[in-house]
Amino acid sequence: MDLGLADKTVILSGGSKGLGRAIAHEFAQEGAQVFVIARGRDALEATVESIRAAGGTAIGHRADMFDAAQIDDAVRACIKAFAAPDIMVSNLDVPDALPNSAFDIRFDDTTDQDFVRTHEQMVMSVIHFIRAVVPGMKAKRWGRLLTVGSYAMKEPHAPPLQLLLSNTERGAVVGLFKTLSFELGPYNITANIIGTGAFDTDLATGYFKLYGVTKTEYEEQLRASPCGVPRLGRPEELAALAVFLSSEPAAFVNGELVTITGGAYQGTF
Amino acid sequence: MDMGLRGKSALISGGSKGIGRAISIALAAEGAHVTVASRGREAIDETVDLIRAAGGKATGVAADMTEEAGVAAAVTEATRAFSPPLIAVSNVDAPDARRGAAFRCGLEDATNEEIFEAFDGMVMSVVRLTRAVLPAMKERQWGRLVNIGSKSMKQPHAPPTQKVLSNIGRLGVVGLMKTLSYEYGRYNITANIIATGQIATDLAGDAYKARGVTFAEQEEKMRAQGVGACRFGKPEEMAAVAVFLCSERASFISGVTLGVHGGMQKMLL
Repeated sequence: MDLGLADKTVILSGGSKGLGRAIAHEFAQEGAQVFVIARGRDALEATVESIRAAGGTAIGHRADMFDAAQIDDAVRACIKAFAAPDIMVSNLDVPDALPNSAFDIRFDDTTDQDFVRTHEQMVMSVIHFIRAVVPGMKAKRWGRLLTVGSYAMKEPHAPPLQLLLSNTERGAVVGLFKTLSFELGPYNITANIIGTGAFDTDLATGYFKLYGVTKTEYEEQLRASPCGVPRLGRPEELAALAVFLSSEPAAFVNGELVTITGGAYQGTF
Repeated sequence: MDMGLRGKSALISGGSKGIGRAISIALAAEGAHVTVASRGREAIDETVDLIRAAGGKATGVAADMTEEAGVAAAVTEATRAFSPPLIAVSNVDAPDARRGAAFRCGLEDATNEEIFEAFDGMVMSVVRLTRAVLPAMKERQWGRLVNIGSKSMKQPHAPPTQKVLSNIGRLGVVGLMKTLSYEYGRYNITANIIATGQIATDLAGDAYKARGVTFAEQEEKMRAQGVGACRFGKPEEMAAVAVFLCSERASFISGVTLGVHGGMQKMLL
């Protein structure tokens, strides 16, 4: 299928590892020019080099996407190097630990400041990113806003690993994207979310550790389960969905939260 | 993007007109071998001719896909012409549509027999089709079940166009597809629903005409409201989503009800 992405400019945060890296590759394969943002130099350079080696067009840019000034710098650099972004993919890791590195968070353990900090990192950073890219999209009357979220947006993390802070802020991102889908639809800009399930990435392996299992043990549990696709998702599979949702043929898919969990997510909707 | 559909046998019920025709054409364009099953011979022949003229492979069978015999005939024809279907798209019109476009139905307007009949047409038709295609999918360890549903799955038809028959039947299909996604994931068979929004088909045109409204007038209303894309979707936009869900690349997407409404459906999840 021709996805109509040749020469489109993609700006992608968290694009040097795991799911983000797979997304960067997939866009480049469709002929888009990819502006990859990440914090760490080595992974960023490796990703950009492998895209170029495969014949794609990519530029790497180091920035901390929790910092508004650095977001603005990144978007300006993208405009200078390529063009105003047609497609924005926001892929942030979840800063879901209390300062003492507790992950299983109970309400009584938190301060208001914990919520404010998480809100700034998970919601305000995305708002800032969107503010920086939407004017260009409106001018072109074409745009795609995509965030790589979590199926926890539909089924929040419960004990024994209750991620209270991100449970709260994930919901806010859903409300934000849904509202943007209303408001920006007339400009042929779509806003969608991917509700990510369990994927075979280093980050996920870290999560399994929090649950007290190794990746191998988790995969064995999946195989023993009678429910859904009995394996971890592959980053390329998520990348295919991200690129499809950003494509020209997906112009009428807007305001959706699409889960990709291999059927593991059990909510009706 | 290579969808990995070359040579796959695909059975499309209601595949000769509107959304179904667009799906038949789009799957054939990806190299699938398409069996178009619907009631009217003329539209079937037109669709098959269109596909063949574009260099695709297709066959047609005149069958009522809400009936056991129709399903059997369609699967037999697909198997004869190509091979047992590994892709089955269930796309039967809502029973209300068969009773006239302007049909409005509350509980007291419908007899128990009519409700049974609607259940048979909407839910049992999908059950029968699924039973007929599952053995080959299980054997080949690959399958795609896609139901062309409705946005009314998330927001049942309310007055003035209340449709108690399809309001009941649609949710039955959701429960069915969800359960299939649990049970057959281990065979690499996915089950998903496309919740159709307002798409510019002849069927939709008739429904608006019966209410004395043209597409252009309705789009005028959409623009005045300013929510989402403010236009009707094109059948090809539905077809692109269907093709993606049927693709090799979408192996980890299952148990999803994906809305295709241009952001004009306001329900959050």
